[in-house]
Amino acid sequence: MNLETELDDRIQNQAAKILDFRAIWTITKMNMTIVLRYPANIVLWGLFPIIWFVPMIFSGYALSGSSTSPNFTELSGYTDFVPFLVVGWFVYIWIDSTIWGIGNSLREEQEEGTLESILLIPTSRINILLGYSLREILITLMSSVVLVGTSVILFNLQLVVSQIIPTIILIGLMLLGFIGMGIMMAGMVILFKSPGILLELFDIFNSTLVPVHYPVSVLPSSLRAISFIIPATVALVGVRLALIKGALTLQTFLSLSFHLIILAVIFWSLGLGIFKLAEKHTRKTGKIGGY
Amino acid sequence: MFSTVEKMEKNQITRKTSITNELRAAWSITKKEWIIRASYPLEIIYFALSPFLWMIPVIFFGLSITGGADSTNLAELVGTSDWKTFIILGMVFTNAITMIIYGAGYSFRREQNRGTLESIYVSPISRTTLLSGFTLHYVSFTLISTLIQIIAAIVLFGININALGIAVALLSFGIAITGIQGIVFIFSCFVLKFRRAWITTEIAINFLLFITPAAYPIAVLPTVFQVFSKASPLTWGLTIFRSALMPDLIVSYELFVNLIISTIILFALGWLLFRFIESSIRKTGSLQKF
Repeated sequence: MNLETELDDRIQNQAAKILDFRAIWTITKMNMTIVLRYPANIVLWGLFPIIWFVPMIFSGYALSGSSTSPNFTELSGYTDFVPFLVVGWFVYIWIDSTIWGIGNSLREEQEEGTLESILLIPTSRINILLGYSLREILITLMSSVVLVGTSVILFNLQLVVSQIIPTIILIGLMLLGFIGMGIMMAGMVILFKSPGILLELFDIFNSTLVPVHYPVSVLPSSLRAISFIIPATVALVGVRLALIKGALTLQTFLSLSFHLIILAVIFWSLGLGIFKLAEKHTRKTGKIGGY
Repeated sequence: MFSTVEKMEKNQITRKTSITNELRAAWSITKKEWIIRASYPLEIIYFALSPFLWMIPVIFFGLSITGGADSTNLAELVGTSDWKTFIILGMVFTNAITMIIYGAGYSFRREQNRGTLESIYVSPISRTTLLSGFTLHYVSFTLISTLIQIIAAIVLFGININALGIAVALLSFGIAITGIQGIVFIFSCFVLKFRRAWITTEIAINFLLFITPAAYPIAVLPTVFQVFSKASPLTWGLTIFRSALMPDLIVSYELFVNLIISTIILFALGWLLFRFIESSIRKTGSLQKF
């Protein structure tokens, strides 16, 4: 009886630990073992974006006759739309994978019948979700290397690498915000089960408002304001300045970083709140492992 | 005695498989799919509207390049400077094609997941009819979605449509769908043979969309891709569809000849491959395996 109580206490203590790096790493490792069984998938996820944005490049060529246009230069401040698109997609694949990855991870476990066992691990649910996030970050890191490497060869791009450190910091801060959004999505998945339409709508919303293909200034003013509450819009401003022009100043970097930190705090608070509510509701109704 | 009964049954089945019965069977499958779809009204609204929403980023990109409603470079390449109508009609066509290929191509996989593939497979109708039934469902759904997209594009982006060309556009779409049926046959082969064939099908469909000149004319594609593009019925179907609906463009007789020839070749190839794979699957008994 004493042993049981002691064990219960230990489990409770473990579960209460919000940031348990060992648990996060164990979940990441478990997932990476599965992911690395299919290495071709990682290469393909790096190559697919190229197939998706090359039509945009052809379209630009058909409309302007070259890789530039006076209107595009005036609106964006960049002369060539090819590196503009490549860097846009380099950032966009992080959004896609973080939100889809975390949002779908619980659904995958649900479909494989392992969700209940995963949720019974004596650690906080947030650690479990962070484990999935880390998996997505590692996969996207590999895919983004494939994407940028292939684009540099295909389009003879010359990206500036001297400002790579501020670029990495901006992407890291952007990911913090997106992990918050991903946790929010995971809560929605637990609540509504099939996440397909929800995630697709979110994807459409992001791909329209985030300036992946065009400068923000082309959007109507009302949409422009909404665009800046998405971390990717803020990060893209700095990443493009750094990688295309090598002109990211300390002042711009600090102001963008501050903007991203505020967004991260907002999305984490929202994400944790929604996830906890969803979890509480499904535990009460006993539908956590159902479809 | 046993073989006589078997022969009688076979004769009965053969008699039943007249064209009218096959059409009725195809219609029953279409109806069944509509009943399932109608249970999820929100999904109907989403899938009918989402292709239009995906067009918006392309339009904003075009606006950032041209800064207005005309492109002189496009006028030199294809004879019209109205880039918005050119791109939107191209995307409407390819959205419809994608919907049909994905929907019908993965129909066997969906039945497999529902655990109903074997029951459907043993119904006394031809496999071609079976697959055509699924295609017919997606064609009907796609027509509704296409109509919504065109109306939304007219209202929101002010595109110009030549109403007199609707009949020709529908005719080209109809012929192209026969070509698409060839692709659906090929996709179904992949699904039946490899089950989780998503990588192969994704690569194939993305390549197909890449060589189909939806948001750009063939002229901007590298020469090697132009060869593939010209062999695809979708390229000719789309060119006729767009030319018929755009007031500045003309539909020529040669375009129809190219569409019909490429459609016949693709359909025949797909059908033969499907027959071959389907018979090998039945021999090995791996129909219901995941």
